Amino acid sequence: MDVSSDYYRIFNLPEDYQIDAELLQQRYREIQRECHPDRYAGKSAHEQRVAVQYAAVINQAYTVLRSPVQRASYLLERMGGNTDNENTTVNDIDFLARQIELRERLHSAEETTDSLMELEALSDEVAHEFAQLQTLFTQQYRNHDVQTATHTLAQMQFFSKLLDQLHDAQDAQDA
Amino acid sequence: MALLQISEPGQSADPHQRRRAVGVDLGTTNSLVAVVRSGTVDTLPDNQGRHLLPSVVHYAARGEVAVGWSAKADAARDPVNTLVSVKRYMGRGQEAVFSLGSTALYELAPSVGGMPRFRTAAGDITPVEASAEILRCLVARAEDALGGQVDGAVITVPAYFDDAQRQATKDAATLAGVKVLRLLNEPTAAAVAYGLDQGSSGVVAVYDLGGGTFDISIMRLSRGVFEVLATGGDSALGGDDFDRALADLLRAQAALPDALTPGEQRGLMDTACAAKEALSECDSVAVNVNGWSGQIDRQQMYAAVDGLIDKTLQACKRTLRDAGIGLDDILDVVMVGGSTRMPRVREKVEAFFRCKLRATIDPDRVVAMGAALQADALVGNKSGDELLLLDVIPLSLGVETMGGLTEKIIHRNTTIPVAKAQDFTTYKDGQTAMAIHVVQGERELVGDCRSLARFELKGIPPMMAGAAKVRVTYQVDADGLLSVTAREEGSGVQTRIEVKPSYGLGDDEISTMLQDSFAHAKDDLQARALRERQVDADRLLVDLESALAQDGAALLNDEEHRQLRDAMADLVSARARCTDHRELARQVESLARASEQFASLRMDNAVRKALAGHRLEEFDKET
Repeated sequence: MDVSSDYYRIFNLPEDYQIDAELLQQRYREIQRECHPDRYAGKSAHEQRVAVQYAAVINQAYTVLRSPVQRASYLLERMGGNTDNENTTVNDIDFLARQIELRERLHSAEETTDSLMELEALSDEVAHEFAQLQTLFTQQYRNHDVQTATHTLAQMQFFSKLLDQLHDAQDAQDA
Repeated sequence: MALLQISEPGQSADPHQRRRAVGVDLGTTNSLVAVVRSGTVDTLPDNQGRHLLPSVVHYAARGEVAVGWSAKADAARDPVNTLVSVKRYMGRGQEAVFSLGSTALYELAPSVGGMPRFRTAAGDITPVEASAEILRCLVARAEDALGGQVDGAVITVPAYFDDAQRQATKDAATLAGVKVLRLLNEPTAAAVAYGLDQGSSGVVAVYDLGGGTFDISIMRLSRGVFEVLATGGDSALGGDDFDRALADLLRAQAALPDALTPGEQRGLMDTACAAKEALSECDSVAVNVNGWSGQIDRQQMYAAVDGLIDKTLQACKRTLRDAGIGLDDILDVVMVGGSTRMPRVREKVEAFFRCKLRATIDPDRVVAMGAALQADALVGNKSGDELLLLDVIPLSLGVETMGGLTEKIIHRNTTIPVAKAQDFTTYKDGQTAMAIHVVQGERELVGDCRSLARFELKGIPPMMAGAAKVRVTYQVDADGLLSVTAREEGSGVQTRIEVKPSYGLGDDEISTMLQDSFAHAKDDLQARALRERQVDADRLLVDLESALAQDGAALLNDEEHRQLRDAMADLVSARARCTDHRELARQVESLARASEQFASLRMDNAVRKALAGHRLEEFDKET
């Protein structure tokens, strides 16, 4: 498949971390209008099969570009960075301390019932730091500074995962 | 699976003929069929003017089967032979019957393919077979109304149905001889029926409380596009449970013994259901159960059912969070399903979402109507602005890893179709097989998720431990159905997959069932299979012919063009020659493969065209 290799090219968007989300969404819909298997419901099984594969690739491309963490990771991979390495933050003592602190706060909120307010405040704080990291990543990426960008990505991954956990903890309190 | 697609060769290839497509809502308590005629969508009534068909099947001795109202009338008289609410057992194991407390009503036979079988006077019946009877009945109604064979159906399923439940629904259609154009999620169908995309674009919630299932879908709409952001629910919570809660209340009030006969149990449930409906109108109702008579008032009913309603609201909260949507962003809440008639449900949903509810279309009929609109669009009767329905997978798909843990491969609320690949390696020298267990659900432990299938990869070339690399690809199509393929990357050997669905039927079992049913003699099946493959061949040839006329010159060089022409000529002669359906199927597949490259080029072209259209629009805006 010609388009599959390059997610930015699928949507004809400039390759950068900052992305026009509105335009991405608009183009995603235009393309799915052409490729979605429903457009091939009356066609042969084989054309339907190709359409399912295409629609799946386009959905995947859309998912990656829409997600702040997956998009960053995808860009670094394309620059030859190694995004699998989870140990890049090990030497960053400040960040390690911050991780421990946030985890502990999550943990104690989970232990106590009726801590929805605390969980929400913590979520806001984490979301704010996450946004700052995104700005940082944009600069590092534009400067082709793969190594520091990889470090920033690792931090983003941590914050993103923590946001998911906060999300789950809020669900648990609701239930 | 087009096992029973029986349109005559050539017939369906005529582009000018209007095709007959139906929308079917296969519900827990009631089912409906709807069609689009002269641009207007409506559900179809039976010859007595009733639109609803109770999802009840009665099996009498000598194999006589009754579906609908007459079967429902039999339920209290002959409960053991009357299957009610079978949707609850679709794609479920026998334990579902126990956990849903229906053992008091039925006799169970040893299960087949992990599915429960109910012992009736007409033999042992699976939920899939009972559903097929309901489908047959609805399709016959549509064929009477449309004056001919139905070309295909869109069948709705709860958005929260897992793979096994969806597959069971599709199997029922196969058994009934209905071609499935698409399995459509019920909330999405309702949104289509309301034409919500035509108004101002925004985010809506669809709250769908049916007889046995609850769905909540959050979707973003804009002209023709229905993009589901997140879906949640409970595929075992519905009006039935409200009845059961009320029945428990009555049982306590009337001090009934724990052990009731199936007839008494059925009668109690019917009384509870009637009381529930009466309390929608008035403050209290007189009840007679087994000689006990008394009063039940609204407050008592609220106490019995409020917990169930709250459970649906918890699911709404979670789903909003999954969608990343706040309550203030919701423009509209659409109410779907017969159980949303209960004033108490409306009251609590309105208080939760803090906005007006939309319930102008009959909540029982809206889903079938949306399905019919989609069916009409899928067979190509509707031109112009096409619908685009982007749905999601409701529950994560994962595989079992060491220690009985789940590793998620595809996360819930991922837009479908979706494909994910995963690499496995061997851990022993010379190992030639490996086992993979696919599950669906959100829990950490495999035992807490739904087991979908076990796969055995065989025929891996013997190598050193860790040298083989098997790439397994999980693909979920637009119906939400999973398929798995595997390939050994190093040697390029396509590994063989043996699929053993944890619940449900293998293809062989479906064929056996079809052959067993006396309506289909074996010869008949062979002839039918050949006719279907001939239709496949014709369709492929017609498609390729028109594709070549459209794009052949632009996308293929002379050599490629000639090769494709040769392959097509081969199929034309095979079509005339073959008397064996398997041989013809191979020939069709062979041309399909030969034309794959061309199909990809066309698809690339379509993507480019979509973008080019866009750039033009933007250009227009600037000037």
